[in-house]
This record gives sequence, structure tokens and C-alpha cells, in this order.
Amino acid sequence: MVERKYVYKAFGLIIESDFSIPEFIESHGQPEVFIKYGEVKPFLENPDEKGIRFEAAKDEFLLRLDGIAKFYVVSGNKIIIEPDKDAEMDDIRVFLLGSVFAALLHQKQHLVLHGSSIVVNGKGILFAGISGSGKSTLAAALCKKGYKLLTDDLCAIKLNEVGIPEIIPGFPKLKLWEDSAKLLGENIDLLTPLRSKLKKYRLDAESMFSHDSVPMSKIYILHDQNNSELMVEHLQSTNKLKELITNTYRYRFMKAQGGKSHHFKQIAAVANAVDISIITRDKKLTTLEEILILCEKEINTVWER
Amino acid sequence: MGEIVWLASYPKSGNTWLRAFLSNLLSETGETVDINHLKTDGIASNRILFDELTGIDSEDMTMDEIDALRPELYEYIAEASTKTSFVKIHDAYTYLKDGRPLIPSYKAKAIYIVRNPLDVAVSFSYHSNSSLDKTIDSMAKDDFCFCSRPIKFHNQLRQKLLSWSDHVQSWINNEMIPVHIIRYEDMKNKPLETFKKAVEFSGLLCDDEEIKKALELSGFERLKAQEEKAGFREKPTNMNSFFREGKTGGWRDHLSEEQVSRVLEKHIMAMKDLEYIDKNSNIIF
Repeated sequence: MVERKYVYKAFGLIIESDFSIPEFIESHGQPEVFIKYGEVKPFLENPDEKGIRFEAAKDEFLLRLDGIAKFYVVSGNKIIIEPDKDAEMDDIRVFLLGSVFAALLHQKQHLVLHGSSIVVNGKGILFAGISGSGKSTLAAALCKKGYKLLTDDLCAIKLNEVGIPEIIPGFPKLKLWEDSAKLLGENIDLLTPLRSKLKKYRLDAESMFSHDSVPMSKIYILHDQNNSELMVEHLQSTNKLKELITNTYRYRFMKAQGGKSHHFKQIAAVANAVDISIITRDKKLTTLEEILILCEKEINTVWER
Repeated sequence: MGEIVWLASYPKSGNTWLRAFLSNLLSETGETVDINHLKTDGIASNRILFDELTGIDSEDMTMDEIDALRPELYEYIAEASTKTSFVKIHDAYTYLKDGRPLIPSYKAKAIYIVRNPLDVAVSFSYHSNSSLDKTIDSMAKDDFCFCSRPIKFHNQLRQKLLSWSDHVQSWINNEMIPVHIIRYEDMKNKPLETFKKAVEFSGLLCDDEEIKKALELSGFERLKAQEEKAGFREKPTNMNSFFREGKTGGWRDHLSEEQVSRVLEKHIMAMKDLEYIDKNSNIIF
């Protein structure tokens, strides 16, 4: 008997999976990435980078999540998953769509930044920052105002033929904590929980999703700083590079790709083509409305370069 | 050889002061260290470090899943340290469900800073912008935690503090890692002697002159002046100033008799152990 396979498109890739991934958009065509169940060895033979639950080498990546699964990513085109006994599929998918896909995209030599992005006047605008800095909430709020979503949390960027960075659309879902979802006027009961064990939800953004890659024009890095007023600082070249390194998603995964010089070339191209600013605020003092007003003004301003 | 020296304390007990002192002691420039760029090695509940070293987004994990990886995280840091790492921690010394201690003993020891809970109550109430009564209640709660509300993101990992007494006893009675206890009141009243012992316990090689110099540069008035001039990024929102009075016995001006007796009722045993109460039941400091 032939097992059913699922085919999706996400991060610009046609993906064939052994199991359903409802977060992705269904697609067809010749798959270039395969997600399969299989046996995963507990260690890599010669890891260049070794963390507490991950190991990375050139074209190889391993992540072990106790009680959930072991994930093995190879050559930028295959993800093998060995679920633990009693693992829940929701739990497997959360980490598959996070760290594991980040490793795959690093292997594909994309630049992977930590942020959520939208389309404004045909250009990609990225809100980057550490976990909890408010990227998803802000992107969700802007989508509700009519801007199209490109990515949430994981942002894959490639340089086009002429070296201009483009944001590749991820998949049409946003992750929100209960308090943020409520702030955005969502009814929690109607949202899909990320995991049964967390008060965090996936907001469906299929109707507000951009399916095409777009050139990137601006990055806003969100900083939450106690006691700070809401302010924007436009960065100059060296500081741009520093922030791009800091906001690279799982920098350690990437290092093992032997790709440090490749990564530097990419961030230099981004720094050259893209305006980068830091938005600092104290989340406890600034309302969502205040930051939205500032952002809408900012994202619609064309800068002289 | 590297190791972790935990700077463990209940909040508002002198941890920042000790970190400022160590920063000045470790600084090679001879200039006063900026309170916004202390030279010590962060806090145990640092979420970014957890994510980077485990390779997992802690924001998608449950608090118990995170805790289960923390012992390995600290062993990893201890193993990777080429020098002594001074890491702040407000978690009590607790054990996971499977019996492992949250704080492993591998290449680790701890300086435990303790302060009269009556003064802690006053300081903590200013710090958290909450009433004295509520603060005294929090200090008495056996399951008191930082960053544990499940509906929202927290910048730091959950920290189980337990009650003030349990926090103190969890650290000083643990038999897994060596602990050197220092009292805030002794840091104030006998600084050279107290800080010198802590430095010796840490294994740093410093002479009296270096310790005196670092003490001078990290004196309360200096820290306060730095905050007044340029702010302190660790100051919670809605708090006037982090470095407030920095004195001992201030509780006498703030706590009612009823509040004092509530603190004593809950914490008298630990207070006696730490000589905050003498044989005749007098409160010292």
C-alpha cells in the first residue's frame, strides 16, 4: 500500500511530508525538500558545533527534544524525524517549523533572520528582535490594517540575480501569546493552540498572506528596555552589521555550514541595500496603538539614500 | 580552570552590590565600571543564552521542559568557562521531578548573600511597586515564583524562589555544592573583612589594596550617583530609583508592629540561624 504523502509550499520550497502540516499551504509539483519519519542516530559523527540539544556540521544538523522527537536535517533537502513514544504531533510541528526549518534554510545558504515581515508598497519590511520583543504582535496588528504577511518569527532572505536581498514568504500563520491575542481583539476559543500545554496560539493569516518574494527595504529591530521612551534610531553601516549578526536566527547553526564568510557577504549586501533602525520602548509603558502609529508612519516614509 | 561561582540571593539582598564590587575588582582599566556594563556573567534565568546553547526556542517550551534542560545548560557553561564565571541567580536551590538538582555541582560553588528579611520586605516592596502587606505575603508564599504567569511571554525564565526562609535554607543547607554565606549587614559594617573572605572563597588572587579600591568604586553613593546620571537598565519600570537607601535597619521607619510580627512568625527559625535574632529574642540590625 502506498502511504499518502502531503505536498506543501513554504519558504519558497516545494515540500513533501509523511504527515500533515496544516500550517503550510497545500501545493503540488516536484518536491525539493522531503520530511520523513525514520530512525535518527543520537549523535553526529563530526559535529563542528555542539550545543546542549543540537549538533551541526557542514550540511548536517541534529536536534534532540526529550519527550518529543529527534530531528535530522541533511543537505538542505531532507528532514528525518523520529518521534518519541507518546509524542504529540502539535509538539513535533512547533519545533519542526522553528529551529529545524531554520537549520534547513541555513543549509540552503539563505540568510535567516529572527523576525516577522510584511509587504509595504511592494517592498518587504522586517521587524526583528529577540524573543518577546513584540515582532509577531506588531506584524499581526499591521496585517489587520491591510498589510500582507510574509513571515513570522523565521525570516529567510536570499540575494537575487543582481545581489538585492529578497524576503521569501514563510507560511501564513502567526504565533501569539494569550495576552497579545486578546490585545488584538481575538477570541482565544477560536484560535488553534500551538501546543496543548501552552497558552500560546496560531493566528491564521491565509487571507492576508503574500505568496511572492519581494525586495527588502527596511528592518526595524525592536528593543524592549525598562523605563525607555518610545524612540527610533536610524543606524549607520558598522552598527547595521552588528545588528544583523545579533539578529541572525540561531547563529551557531549557521557557523557550522562553513558559511561564515558567505553569511558575512549576505549581511553586507543587506546592510548596503536596506535601511535599518532600532525601535526602543518599554513594553510596560507603550501601548500597541502608540507603536502602531509610529510604525505606520515609519514604514511609509521613503528615505533618501 | 574555569568554574561557576553562583551569586545566589533572594532579591534585594545585595546581589547587585556584590556584582558591582566584583566588576570593579576584575576590571583592568582602573576606572569605575559602568553599572550598565557590569563585568560579571549575567543571570541564570537568561532566556537568550538558553535558546542559543540548547538550540531550542524556550518560548515554545513549557516551564518544566525548560527546567529539565537547565542543569545541562549550567554544566555546559561551567565546562566551557576558561575562567571563573560569576553568575547571578535568584532561584532557590531546588530539585527537579526526577531528583536532579536544578543547579549542578559540577565545577560550581556559590556565594549566598542574605539580608534581614525585615529590610528585604521594605526594599522588595519598592522594587516591585507593591504594598508592604502584599510583599510580606509574597515572601511567605511557599511556591513564590518570578516569571511564571502562563498567558504571556517573560523576558526571563521562570524562577522558583519559594518563601524567603525556604530560599535561604535551600541554599545554605544544600549538601551538593559548597556555599559561602555573607550577610548584607556584614558587607555594610565590616566591608574589607567580608568582601575579602568572599574573594578568597571565589579563588581570585587579590591583595587588600585591590579589594579596598574595588570597594571604594562600588560604594553605595557611587552606584546611586551613576544611576542618577545615566539610569540603570535593571531598574524595573515604575520604580523611582534602584539604589534607594542601601542601609540596614530601615524597616524600623516603615513596618508596623503587626507587619513585623508577621515576618517574624514565618521566618523566625531562619532569622535565628543567621543571627538576625539573638538569644533574648531581640532583633539585631
